[in-house]
Amino acid sequence: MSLLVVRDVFKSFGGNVALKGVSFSLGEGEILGIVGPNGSGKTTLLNVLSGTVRQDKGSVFFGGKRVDRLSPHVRARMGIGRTFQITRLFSNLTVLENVLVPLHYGGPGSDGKRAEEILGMVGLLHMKDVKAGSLSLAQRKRLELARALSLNPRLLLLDEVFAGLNPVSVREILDLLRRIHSETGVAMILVEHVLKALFQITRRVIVLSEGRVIYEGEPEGMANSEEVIKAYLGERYEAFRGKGP
Amino acid sequence: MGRHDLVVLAGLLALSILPPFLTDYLERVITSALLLASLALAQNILLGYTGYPAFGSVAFFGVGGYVTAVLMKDLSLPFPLALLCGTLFSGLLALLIAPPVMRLKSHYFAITTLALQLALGELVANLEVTGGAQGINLPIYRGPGGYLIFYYLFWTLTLVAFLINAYVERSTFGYALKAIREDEVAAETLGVNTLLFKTASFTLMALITGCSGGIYAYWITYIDPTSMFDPVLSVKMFVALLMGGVGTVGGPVAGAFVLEVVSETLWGQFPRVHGLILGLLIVLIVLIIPKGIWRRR
Amino acid sequence: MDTVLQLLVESLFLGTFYAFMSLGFSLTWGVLNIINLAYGSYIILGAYLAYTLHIYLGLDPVLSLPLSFTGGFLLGLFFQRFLMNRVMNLEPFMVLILTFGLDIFIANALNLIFRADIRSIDVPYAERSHLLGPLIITEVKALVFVLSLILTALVYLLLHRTWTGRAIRAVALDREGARTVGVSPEKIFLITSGIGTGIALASGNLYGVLQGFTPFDGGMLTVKAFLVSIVGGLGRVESAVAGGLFLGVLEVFTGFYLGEGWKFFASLIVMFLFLILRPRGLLGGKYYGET
Repeated sequence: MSLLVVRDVFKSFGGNVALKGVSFSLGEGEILGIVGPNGSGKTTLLNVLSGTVRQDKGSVFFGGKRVDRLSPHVRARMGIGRTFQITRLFSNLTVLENVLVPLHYGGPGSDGKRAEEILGMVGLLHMKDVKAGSLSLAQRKRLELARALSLNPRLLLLDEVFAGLNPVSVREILDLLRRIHSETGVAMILVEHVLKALFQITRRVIVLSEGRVIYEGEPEGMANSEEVIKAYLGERYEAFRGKGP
Repeated sequence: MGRHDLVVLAGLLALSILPPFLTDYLERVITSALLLASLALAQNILLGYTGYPAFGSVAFFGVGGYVTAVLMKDLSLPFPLALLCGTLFSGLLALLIAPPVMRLKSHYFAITTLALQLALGELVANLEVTGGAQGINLPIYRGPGGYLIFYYLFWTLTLVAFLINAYVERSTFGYALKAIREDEVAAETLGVNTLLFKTASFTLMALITGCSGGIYAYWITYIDPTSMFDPVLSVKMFVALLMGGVGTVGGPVAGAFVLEVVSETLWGQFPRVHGLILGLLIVLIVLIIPKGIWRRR
Repeated sequence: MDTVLQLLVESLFLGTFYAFMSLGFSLTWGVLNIINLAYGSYIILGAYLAYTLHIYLGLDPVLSLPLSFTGGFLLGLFFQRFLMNRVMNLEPFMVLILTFGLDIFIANALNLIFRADIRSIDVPYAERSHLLGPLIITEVKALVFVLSLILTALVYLLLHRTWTGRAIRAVALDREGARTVGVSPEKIFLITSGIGTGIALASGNLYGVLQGFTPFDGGMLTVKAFLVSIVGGLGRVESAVAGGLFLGVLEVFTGFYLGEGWKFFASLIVMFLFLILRPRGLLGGKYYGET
C-alpha cells in the first residue's frame, strides 16, 4: 500500500493557477525528487501536503487516511515533517529548544535525551545552547532537519535543502540524508534545483511545469522528454524547432 | 528566571510587609503601580511570549469592572463573588472572540482589539443596566483592613500574574507560545495547535486584566465608560512593558513601578502638563527602545 | 419617504466630507504602511488653526484652507523626517504606540492653549438653510459637501495626472520596483506624509465649520478615518469615496433611528466586523497585514 497518494490537486491564488491537477503516489520509505522551473508549483505542492495551504480541489491520502482537510499540526503528529526553502527557525530559542517543541507537541514527548540524540545525529549537539538565530545557513538547514525528525516522521518534505550551500556542505547534507534514510526508513520528497545532488539520492523524479506533472520516471529519461526540454528551455526551444529541418 | 527577575520577585514579596510603614499617599501610589503591573504582566503573556499586541486589552479591564459593579449593585452579590464572576466573564468573552480575532496579524490584530475596547465603552455608555454615561456608584468598603485590602488584592493579583509569567517562561506550555511568537507557520508544521495556544494565551490575558478591573471598580467606588475603557490606560501599560522589557518575567513589574513613580511626581509637580509629558514620554520611549524588542535579552 | 430622502442627502453630504477627511489617512497607510493614530488630532489641529485665524484675522475658514494645507504639509514633512523615518522598520505596533503618544501630546497641547471647552467657528452663514422641494438644505453642510467634492477630485487628479502622483502610486504598489525605475521611495514617503497631513489639517477647517470641537475629539475622528479606509480598501481615492459614503449612511441612519448615542458604537462594531471578516475591504486593494 502506498504511504502517500495525491489525487488531482488544484490550487489557484487569485487569478494564478499554481497546481492544475497533480497526481502521484509514494511508497513507504521511498525517495522522490520533484523538479521544475521557477513558478511551476513545487513549493505550493509541498504546502498542500503539509497543510499550510489548502487545495481548491483534489485529495491527499496519507497512510490510508484522507488528510487534506486536517490542520498542519495534526498532519505533523501523523508523521509528516517538513523543512522550508527559506529556513523558519525559532530564532530566539536555543537549538535544543527548537527541537523540544516538536518533540513535545508533535512527537513522542519532550525528552532531553531524545533531543540530544537527534541533535547528535545532525551534528549540532555541541551547539545546543546557542540561539538558533546565530547559526550559519548550513547549520540552520541541519536544525530544520532535526526539528522535522523530532516528529518521528514517516514522510519528510524537504524544500530545497541544498540551495545556497557550498559543495562541501551539499555533500555533508547528502550524507546526512542517506544516513537518516537508512536508520529510520523515512520516506522523502525533495523539491530541488540542485539536480546533481538530487540524482545522487533518488532514482525517481517528477517534473512539474505550470502546475502539471509532465514527466515521471528515472532522471536519465528527462533529457529525452520533449516536454521537459520545452519547459526548461521555453520559447527559445520553440524558436529553435521552428527553424529546424 | 534571570537574576533581575529574582530581584523583582524579592521586591514584590517585600511589599507585603511594607504597609505599616507607608503613608496613605504612598499606599495609594503603590496600589496604582500594582494595578498597572498586573495589566502589564497580563499583556506580557500575549505580546511578550506569544507575539500578539492586544492594543485594546483594557477592554477586558472594563468588562471585569462593569460586571463586578453591576452584580454588586443590582443583585447585591458580595464583592468576592461579583469579582469572580467579573473575572470569569472577561475570560469567557476572550475565549469566544479569540479564534476570529487571532487570525489577524500585527497591526490588524492590534487595531481590532482597540476597536473592541472602544465599542464596548460606547455600548456601556448607552445601556441602562450599566448606568449609561453617568456610570455606577458602589458602596464604599468599610470592612476590616480599610483600603489596605485593595493594596493586598492588587498585590496578590500581581504576584499570581508574575508566577504565571514565570511558568510560561520555563514550561512546555510557554515553548508553544514562544514558538508561535517566533514563527507561527513553522510551529504549526511541528505539531503545535496554534489556534488552541493563541486562544489560551488571549484568555489568560483577559482573566488577569478582568480581575484587575473588578478590584479597581470597588477600590475607586465610582466607574464610568471613559475611565474603564480608557485608551490612555492601554498606552500606559504598553509603556510600562516597553520600559521594563517585553518578554521578561520581572520587566513589566519594574516598568510599571518606574512609570507610576515618574508619573506621580510629575502629577504632583505640574498637574496641567501631565498629559503633555505622558505623550512626549511615549514618543521618546519608542524612539529609544532599539529595534526588535524581543531580541534584547 | 421624504424622511428617507432627507436622510440620504444628509448621508451624501456627510459621507463626501468623510471621504475627503480620510484620504490622508488612507494614503499614508497605503503608501508608507503607517497607521497614524494621531491623524484625528491633526484634523482637530486644523480646526483650531482655522478657528484662530477666524478670530484674530477674521479670515473665513474656506479662505484659510490653503494655509491649513500648507501648514499641514510642512508638519507632515517634519514628522516624517524626524519621527516616522526612525520607526518605519520596527514592529508595526511600535508605530501605533508612537503615533498614539503623538496624539496624546497634540490633544494635551491644544488643551493647554485653548482649554477643554467646545469651540465653534461662527461663520455668518452658519445657521442659514433653504427649502428645496421636500428637502431642507443647510447651507454649511452643502458648502462642505461641494468643497469636499472639489478637493477630493483635486487629490484624484494629483495622484493620476501628475508625475509625483504616479510615483506615489508606484511606491504604494512596489517599493523596490519603484526604486529600480528611478523613483526614490524615501522622497515619496516625505511627500506623501506632507500631502496626507495637509489633507488632515485642511479637512479640519471644514470640520470646524460643520460642528463644534474640543481638543480631545481626535480619537473619534481617527476611528472614522480608519473605518473609511478599511471599508473601501487602502490608498485609492475611489475606495475612500466608497468608504466615506458608507460611513455617512451608517451614521446618519443609526443617529436618526436609534439615537445619537449609538452612532459611534455602530461605527466601531462595523469596523470590528470588517477587520475580522473582510480586512481587505469591499473593493479589495492592498493589504499589508499578511507580510
